[in-house]
Amino acid sequence: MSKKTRGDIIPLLHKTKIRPNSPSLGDCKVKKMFATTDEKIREYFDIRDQIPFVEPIHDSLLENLSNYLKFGGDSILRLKGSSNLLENSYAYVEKSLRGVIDDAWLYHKSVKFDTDFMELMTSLTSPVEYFSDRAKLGRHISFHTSSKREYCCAHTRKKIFYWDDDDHMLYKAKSSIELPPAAIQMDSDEESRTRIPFKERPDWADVKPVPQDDGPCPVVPIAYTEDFSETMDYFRAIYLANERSPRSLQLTAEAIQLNPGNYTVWQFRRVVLEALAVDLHEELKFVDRIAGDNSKNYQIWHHRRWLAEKLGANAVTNELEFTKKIFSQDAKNYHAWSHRQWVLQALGGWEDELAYCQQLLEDDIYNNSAWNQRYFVVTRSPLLGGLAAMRESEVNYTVQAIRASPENESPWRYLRGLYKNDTQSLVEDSQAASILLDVLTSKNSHVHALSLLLDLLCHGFEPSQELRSAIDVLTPQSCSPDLALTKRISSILEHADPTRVKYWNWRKSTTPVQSAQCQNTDRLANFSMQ
Amino acid sequence: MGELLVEKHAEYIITVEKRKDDFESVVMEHLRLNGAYWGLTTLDIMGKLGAVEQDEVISWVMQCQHESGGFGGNIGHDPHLLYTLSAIQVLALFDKLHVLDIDKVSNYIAGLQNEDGSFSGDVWGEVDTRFSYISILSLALLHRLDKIDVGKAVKYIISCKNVDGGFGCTPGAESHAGQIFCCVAALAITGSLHHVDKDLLGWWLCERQVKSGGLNGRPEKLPDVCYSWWVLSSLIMIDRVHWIDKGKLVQFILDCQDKENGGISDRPDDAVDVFHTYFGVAGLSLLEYPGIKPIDPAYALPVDVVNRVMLGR
Repeated sequence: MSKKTRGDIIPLLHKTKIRPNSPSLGDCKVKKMFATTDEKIREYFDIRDQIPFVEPIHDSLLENLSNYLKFGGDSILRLKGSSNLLENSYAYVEKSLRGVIDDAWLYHKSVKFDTDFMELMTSLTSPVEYFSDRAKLGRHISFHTSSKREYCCAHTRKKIFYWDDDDHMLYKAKSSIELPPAAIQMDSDEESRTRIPFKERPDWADVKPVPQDDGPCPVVPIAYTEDFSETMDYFRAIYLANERSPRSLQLTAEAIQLNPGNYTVWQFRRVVLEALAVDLHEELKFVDRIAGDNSKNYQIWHHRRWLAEKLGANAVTNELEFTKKIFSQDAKNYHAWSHRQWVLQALGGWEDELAYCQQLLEDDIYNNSAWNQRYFVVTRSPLLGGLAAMRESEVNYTVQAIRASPENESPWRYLRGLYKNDTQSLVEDSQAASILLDVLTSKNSHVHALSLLLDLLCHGFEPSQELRSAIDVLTPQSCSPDLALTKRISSILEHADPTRVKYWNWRKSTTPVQSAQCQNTDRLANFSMQ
Repeated sequence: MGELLVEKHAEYIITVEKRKDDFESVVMEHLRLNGAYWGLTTLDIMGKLGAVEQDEVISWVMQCQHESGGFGGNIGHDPHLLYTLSAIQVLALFDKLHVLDIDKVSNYIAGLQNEDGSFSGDVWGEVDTRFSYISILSLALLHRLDKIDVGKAVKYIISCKNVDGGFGCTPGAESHAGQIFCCVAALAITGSLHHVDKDLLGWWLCERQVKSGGLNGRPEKLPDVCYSWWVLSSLIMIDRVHWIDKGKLVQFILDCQDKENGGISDRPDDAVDVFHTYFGVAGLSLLEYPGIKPIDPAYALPVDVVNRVMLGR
């Protein structure tokens, strides 16, 4: 629950975001903060040279990123299940962060940095709106002041709780502030109504709630929040009674909304769905709503797959669209990719898949998930004729991708994958030789090109004079020019990639002086195992 | 250069388990057995397991067992392989595996093997190489690997191998360091590591180290302390751990400590949790950080516990 302040990030005040009564900052200082924040962003995300942050960053993006960092980093976005693309995609970052900016927060972090929590609350004109916006993004947020006391807040749909650092509950928003109507309308069905406790609902009068049994001496005693605890007590009652009724279905919906990770509730929901023969298209809509905030939750995907299995071929379009929607927020979501691959293999829908991979790679050429999916389609689609039929066009595409960003490891690995079980053809491929020369004579990163060249040399590749000259240029002065080409390449790699110097050193030690045969474990030939 | 704040982390783990009215504890309620495994293993590696009332833990763990033989994430929850392994591991930590009806538990696990050799996580049928690892490790700890078709299980794992040398959750799924750990460890336990392209996979794994010294789990992703475990243990199992910069990784993990309140986070300055505290400390153990017990990269338990369970010493 505790959350450290990002004390080293200077709070950024964008002038337009400053409240009238707060001190304003001169342009000069703002610029300095931009610079510092930019530096932090780079460091924090380990953004390597390939990521186009070197270009001037327009203010709105930087502002967004700064806010993002100030907010306590990526935890909010991560809860949203979407921090991944941050490294590469401006558009994405802007989209995700629009709406996260908040004067109240800025005001708090900058002007009232040392204020007491309650003072902050009174200084906000619309605290509930502020927190419910946060909550919509991540369901649970935390924040703190830089003074001795630290506060956290969690939002469980209807209530906002605040604690101090001793976990004493300070403040319950619901008791004093009602959610504004606007916020309620933006919620969906069940959750939109102010929750009535089960014990006050006439249709539940016959059910005796079953409290959590933590055993005589609970190892990890947990005091649950009121709503959660009551809902789970009623859930246990119907679960133990194995009651497969419409009200059970409704109750599982409420319990899932409180905690979508609770797999027992999901499983019981499936039992009830089956018993009641519910229209599963309606159930899909329910999952859509839950999945928005929880796209990294295993249970949701498992449930989705169960539904798709039941619906069969009718589900294809819907499931492909659904995963697309998830990828628009988080293009590397592992669960969504796994689901999509299952849909394609079990139910079909391959027609547009290569085009979709193409589109994702246009959005972000570094997206390894999309490269993997491309390989999946090329090797497994019943419509494309397999790797042999696709190789030529795929090599063309890959070589272009490498030319555009030679430091991107994904297309290099993809290129090797295209020659699975057929190293000799890669050795003889003029396009491969040509891209090696292009990259090695450019100012880009040479690591992947040199690594491939090393492998090819081990398999009898005969480098052109130009390629040899390119290596000559790159060879460090400390290296004897008489040294074999393969040894020199390894030396260049040791310098270029110091983090992995021991790996390259090992490559050097196992690379033969003569290029005809490679003692090295057959790195290329071993692509055969898939 | 900081150091590992053993006392603070131990205190953090013990207090986090006692926390009340906490959003995190509420949403974690259903996977408390996993939490217990992470917390207790961390305490054991740091030599602090004595601070825990073991009879209470064992009594609670046993109440999480379902009549099918599997364990739920907490009392009253449905059984699942994920929690069954945690239960076995926690009992192993306390040298209490004998309280189990070993045949009942192992029959539950063996019953989840599918025709193609893969494993489902529970009766609902989700298939994933994580479950192959869990089943194989659980049965190995119970000395009941003979209850499943190991050959088929290995064959399924190999069918999930990709051209980059890594493994995914199902055949054709993207290589992911967490899945790679599961697959490599399952192959290690079953004596099948010859199926791994060690040099190719080793290169992919060491490419996961980024400038900050941390490791990511897939290309172009952020570094995260949990990969100190997934990547590092895989590299050790295939004997390629010397290919990364260990010093920088140690520093990255130490930088993720909450120096005031204990606990380790995914990245420097983020919020700490028990999951990342475990992976940080376990990662340091794999890196032979002084003063903490060695952990076994495949069994994910302290080496002395593995020796006791597997070799009877």
